[in-house]
Amino acid sequence: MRNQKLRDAALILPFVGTFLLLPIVLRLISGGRWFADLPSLPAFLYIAWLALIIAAGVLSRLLLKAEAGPETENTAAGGDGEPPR
Amino acid sequence: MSAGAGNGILSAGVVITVSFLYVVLLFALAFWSDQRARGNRPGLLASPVVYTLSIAVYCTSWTFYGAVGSASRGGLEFLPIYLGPTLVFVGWWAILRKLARISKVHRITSIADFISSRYGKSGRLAVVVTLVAVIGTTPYIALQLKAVATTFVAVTGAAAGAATGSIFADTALWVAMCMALFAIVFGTRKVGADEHHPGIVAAIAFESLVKLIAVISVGMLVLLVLGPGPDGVFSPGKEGAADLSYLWTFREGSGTRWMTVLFLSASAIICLPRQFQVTIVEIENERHLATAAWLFPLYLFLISLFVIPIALAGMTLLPSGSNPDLFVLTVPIATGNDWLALFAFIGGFSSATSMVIVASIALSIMLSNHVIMPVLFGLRRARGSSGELATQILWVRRISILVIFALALVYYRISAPGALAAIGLISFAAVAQFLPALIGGLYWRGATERGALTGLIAGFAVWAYTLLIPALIHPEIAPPLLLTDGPGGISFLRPEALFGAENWDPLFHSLFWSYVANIGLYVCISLVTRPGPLERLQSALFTDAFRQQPGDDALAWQRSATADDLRGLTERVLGRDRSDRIFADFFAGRRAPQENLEAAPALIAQVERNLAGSVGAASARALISGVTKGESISLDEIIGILDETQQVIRYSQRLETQSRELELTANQLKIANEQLRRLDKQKDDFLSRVSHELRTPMTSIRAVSELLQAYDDVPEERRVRSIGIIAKESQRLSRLLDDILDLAGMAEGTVTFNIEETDVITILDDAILAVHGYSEQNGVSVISAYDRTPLDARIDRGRLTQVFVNLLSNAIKYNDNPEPVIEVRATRRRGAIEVSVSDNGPGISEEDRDLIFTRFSRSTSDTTSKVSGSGLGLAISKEIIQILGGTIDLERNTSLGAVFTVRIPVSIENTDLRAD
Repeated sequence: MRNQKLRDAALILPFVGTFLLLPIVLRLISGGRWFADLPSLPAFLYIAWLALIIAAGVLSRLLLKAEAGPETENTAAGGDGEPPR
Repeated sequence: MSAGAGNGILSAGVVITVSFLYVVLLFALAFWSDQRARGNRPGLLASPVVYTLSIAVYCTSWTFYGAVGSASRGGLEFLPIYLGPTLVFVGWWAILRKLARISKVHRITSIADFISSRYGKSGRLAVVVTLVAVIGTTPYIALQLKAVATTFVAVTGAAAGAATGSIFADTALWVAMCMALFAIVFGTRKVGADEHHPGIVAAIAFESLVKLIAVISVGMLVLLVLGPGPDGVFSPGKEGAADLSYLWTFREGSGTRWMTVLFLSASAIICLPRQFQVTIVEIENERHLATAAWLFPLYLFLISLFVIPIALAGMTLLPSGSNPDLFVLTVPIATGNDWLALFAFIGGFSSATSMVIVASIALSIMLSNHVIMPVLFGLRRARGSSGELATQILWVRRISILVIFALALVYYRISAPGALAAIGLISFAAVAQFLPALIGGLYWRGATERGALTGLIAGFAVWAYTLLIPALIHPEIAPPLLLTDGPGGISFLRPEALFGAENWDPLFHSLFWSYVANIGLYVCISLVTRPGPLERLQSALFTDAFRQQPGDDALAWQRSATADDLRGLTERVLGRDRSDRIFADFFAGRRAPQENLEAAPALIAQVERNLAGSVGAASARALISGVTKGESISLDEIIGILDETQQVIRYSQRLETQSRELELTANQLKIANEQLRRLDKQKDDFLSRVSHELRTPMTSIRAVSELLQAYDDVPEERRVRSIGIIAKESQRLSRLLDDILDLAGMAEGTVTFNIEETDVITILDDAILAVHGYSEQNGVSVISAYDRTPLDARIDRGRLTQVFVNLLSNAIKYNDNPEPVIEVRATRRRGAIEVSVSDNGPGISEEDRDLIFTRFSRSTSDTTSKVSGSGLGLAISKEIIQILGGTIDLERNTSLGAVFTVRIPVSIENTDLRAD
């Protein structure tokens, strides 16, 4: 079950990212000032970007561990061994 | 603008020397990496970091320099180009992973190969993809060459010679030639099992590192040196400074462009031939994708971090009107950091050269596999003995590389000065036409080759019309009237405002209409066409990639070839060594074939796959077809494969139920086995007892008669007694034999019964009388607990008496109670006569219960010889009763004694008189 949640999260992440980058959202953020004197839009973009990167890193590590755990993994030569669900 | 013209560090000579040394370094690195890879000691080369850095070839000089330019002009507009790929890689789990898996299994050599392979190894689809790729990418290569030339001028301040003067003074030419040489040397060394080029990968990974560090260095300069402080770049409210807020706000109306560039860059990170090459084709280990998923976006993050600061610096420090595209160079120069400027130049040089190297190799693979070699095969020019075909392929690739560079140079020389800058996104829009067929092919099993083909051609045509032609507008090539008035004056069909779409962002406009055509036709045509058998097989293999094992497709093909022919073909294409290895690997663990014997379908498929890794799926298929016969795909096999997943599920369910049933059956078998064994033992016991019983009287008779024979003077008394013994024992023998015959006769139905209307009560009386002596002898009281009402039935008198006598004898025989009592009851009940014999004996043990009525059974606890009889008594009784149409049962069985009940129907008209 946990594996399934991980996989779902991995699939949802790019959509979350896309949402954060929609012009609608960006227009809302644009124009202000954050953290003393930084313009809000670049700050938001870079922070969101970094968050996506970190999330991807964490998920990747977890996914790899999950894959290598219960199932034996051949390196990239087919034989993923995903059981039919 | 010019700076540092000819002084000190930045003289042309220095720049050229440094560049040259850098190129030598690249050659050395590539060579060393190839050696290590070939010696199977990849070490650092196998690291996911190298893989990720090679993907960073995405950042060409267009982004190295152009990002700052774009930021200066339009603010954050430059960012989506990095954000699109981020989204794709962050979501690697879905698409990238599937692409990598399929490419590994099917030995995909390029994006054209992938698309062609998915749609039934279609040769014509591969050709179209290749041509679109070449047309879309060549201008991009030209752009890189231009960037090198321009930046060279900027750094050295060298006059002319660029673009307008003699070609031989044009740096672009020399750069092109060097890069072509590099690509040829390290990209076409051998026709391998796959299109892996470790030397190239190492070189461009290194170049990605160099350009990242270069950008960061210039960025650091701006942030740490030029920025802070009251005179710094970042101080707000600088005197006379223009309003620069557009640099960091979202401009109205830029939403469409933002989304368009986001989408185009996301599609480009997969569909650009060079990207597909490094990300999918060159991947060694799927797990590297997991690292690239965050590391590559991080790279993009870092390389974009300093764009706005550098743009700011450029705009404040340099005179207005300076080319913002060159700020990365000119800012260091203007502030006197010449070495840094040189380093930045090398960074830009890296970004340009890595792109052209990989792109030219990728395009040459496509051109040779899908366009030129098929033509050569068709013209039957591609003959030759061992390895010659391989050499031919290599030379075709090399010439392709040269042709591509030549085309790029031509494009570079003839194109209008401003035109090249727009090429980047135009190129993206071209390769975006691959995306529907690619993604659709991964998930939509019903997508057909014809749908993909028409979609692709239509999309490309619209792209060319709406983007390429306007970009090429040059008085001599295409008249500008086309733009303003439309073709032949039809304003509705103006290239930049199709169908009345006025004032749309041109990029979005093109993407929109090209996708309407592309996806529209792709879907519609796929829905109305039926895929051929090979197409269906390939589509199943691709869409179900994670459930397939490699080699599954072999089962579907029914074709034959001799091992000889196959080996000959493989040797011609891949050379003797590789061929030997392929065959040896296949037969390891299987029995080696004789020469000329049929090659197994699995072997044919394996050979085809290996060939595909070198010449692409379509050509490999063509080659194999040349040596195989009877090539057909059985429809059943396809359906079988297609339904494989269903089958697996159903199969495992069936297995579960079967194993449960098996358990039950096993249990039942065990019980039955036990029973059989006991019956067998009983039979053996009976046989031994019978023979013993037979022998005992026989022995007596023999002994006595021998005695009588031997001696003449036996006393009279003795003689009489002896004869009595002989008589008695003979009778006993006869009785035993009679019983056996009786039972056998009843079983076979050869015994006749005398049926007549008789009163059962009288029979009971007779029976009790018959055993009177026996019961007296054992001190057993027999009570007749029935009244004198006659109970008539149609029965055999003698036989029924026999049954009752038997029951009574048993009751007497086994009753060990100190006061043994037997009760006999008889009533009429429910149309039958019920007679019960009950005793107060020990009862019958649980284990004997089931067996007492069977033949040869005896109480297993009975060991006393006092008990006589054959053990057939109850069996005979049961047979008799059954023949009379009744039942005999052990009704109650407690330690208080047994009760036997006989039920006889009143009328036996409808009963078969034979025992069953």
